Amino acid sequence: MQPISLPDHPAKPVTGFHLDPKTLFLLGAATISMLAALYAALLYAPTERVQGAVQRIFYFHVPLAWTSYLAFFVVMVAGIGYLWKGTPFWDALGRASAEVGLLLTTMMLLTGSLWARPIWGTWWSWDARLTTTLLLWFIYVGYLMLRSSVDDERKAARYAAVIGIVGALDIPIIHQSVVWWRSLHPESVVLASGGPAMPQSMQLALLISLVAFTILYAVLVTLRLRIERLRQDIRLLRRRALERMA
Amino acid sequence: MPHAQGRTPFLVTVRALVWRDLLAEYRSREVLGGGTVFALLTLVVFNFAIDLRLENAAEVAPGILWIGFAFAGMLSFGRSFANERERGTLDGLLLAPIDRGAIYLARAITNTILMGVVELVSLPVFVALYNVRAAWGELLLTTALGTIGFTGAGTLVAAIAANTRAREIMLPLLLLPLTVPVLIASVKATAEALGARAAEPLPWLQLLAGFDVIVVAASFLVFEYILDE
Amino acid sequence: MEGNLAFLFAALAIVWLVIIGYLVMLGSRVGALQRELDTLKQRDAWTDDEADPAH
Repeated sequence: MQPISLPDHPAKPVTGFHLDPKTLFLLGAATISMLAALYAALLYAPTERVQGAVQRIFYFHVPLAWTSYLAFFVVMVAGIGYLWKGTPFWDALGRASAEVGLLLTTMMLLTGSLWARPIWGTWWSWDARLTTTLLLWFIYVGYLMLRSSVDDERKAARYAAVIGIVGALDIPIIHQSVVWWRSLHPESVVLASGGPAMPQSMQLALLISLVAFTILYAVLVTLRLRIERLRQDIRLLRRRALERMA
Repeated sequence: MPHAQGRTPFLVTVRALVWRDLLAEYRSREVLGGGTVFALLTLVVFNFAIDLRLENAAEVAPGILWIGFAFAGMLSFGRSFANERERGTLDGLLLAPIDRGAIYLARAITNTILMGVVELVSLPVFVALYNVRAAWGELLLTTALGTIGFTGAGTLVAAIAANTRAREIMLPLLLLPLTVPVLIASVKATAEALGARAAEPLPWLQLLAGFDVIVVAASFLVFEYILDE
Repeated sequence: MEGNLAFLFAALAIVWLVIIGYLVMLGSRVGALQRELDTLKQRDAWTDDEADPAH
């Protein structure tokens, strides 16, 4: 049997979880940047004239949208990586990014809805961005359900990789087709912050928020990956123990 | 099947596989019978679900038609792969020195033909039940293109779903979001074939053809990763 | 316009609660798994000593 390489960690007793310095750093960075984003969104950014305070949802909604799509892009990359290299890391990355991505997408849709209601009067609008994101949500769900409904691990990983790649490539096509579909229904006031010329302070707030959510995404995926890695190690150890008994 | 020294020529293989599948289907007639009845049933039931007036028929009816085709299609893709697994014939196929792509192409063609038969029966019924006026050439072409796109992706996804536990759920769950472009284009193009005048007409038929090329090419390329080594 | 603040608050609440909730869940899962791994490794080391010395 090949020697198992397990992560090196200090021989601590049962309590507490040990996070490596890199993860701790990311966690700290995420906390600070998210708090900064909160401040920027609620206090620093000026109140928009037309929409009022509700417009501040924008500073969460847009970064959530950005990270939802980033997460699925990573799912695609992970799928390519898995089909190419075959190592469990790529598979775990796909799963982690998909789970986090589903969360982000859900929040994007919810915040979008909560923003749309007071501004447009409806909870939902079939505009291209929301519609495409809704479909992305379903693709995420399909991806995750596929994983849990295939018994063979390696098969599950392969199928998930394929769906991840195909799904990601399909997203721009879906978006475009929805845009064409809606050409008959003029887009309602684009959910922006007051037109093409966004004041600098708003741009800055948005930028801070974008960075914060991206770091948050990275932290969540890192933690989730950690869980996968731990699970793998546990499985290995268990198998080794069983073999020794046999 | 011809026993060759190396690999059998691609198209010959495809033709042989299609023939084999169609014969199998002809014997059981499971997919054709079930699919047709299901499609017709959908058309009838939707009539109760949707309030259809003469003025908007040409715009609303295509949606119903394509929902019917989509669900009948998914039933039939699911069945054909399930049958293969039960008969155990897929393994034999994989052992033979056949290009993986040929398996996909043959399956896709078979599914398209079977869907086509279902649609040929359903279309006249649809036109009659929903009282629409059809430009038949355009309608048939639209239906054909839409089917190619939907089946192209459906064959790939059905192959995946066949190996899952909840395959009846997994197939629609995976396939429908992915085929939204094809469905949108099909519905719009069908509406045009039925005489609906759009404010800003887009070349939906060409767009549909474009989607088809992308879908089939992508599915063809990716199919080999689905099969066991 | 003031009534709309409820929507802003709801959106904020959802986002922060979900994020923090997920982080806490991940953290506790990492902890539990790490503990399990440690236990297994201790047991592993123990049986290593007991069993095959050439291992």
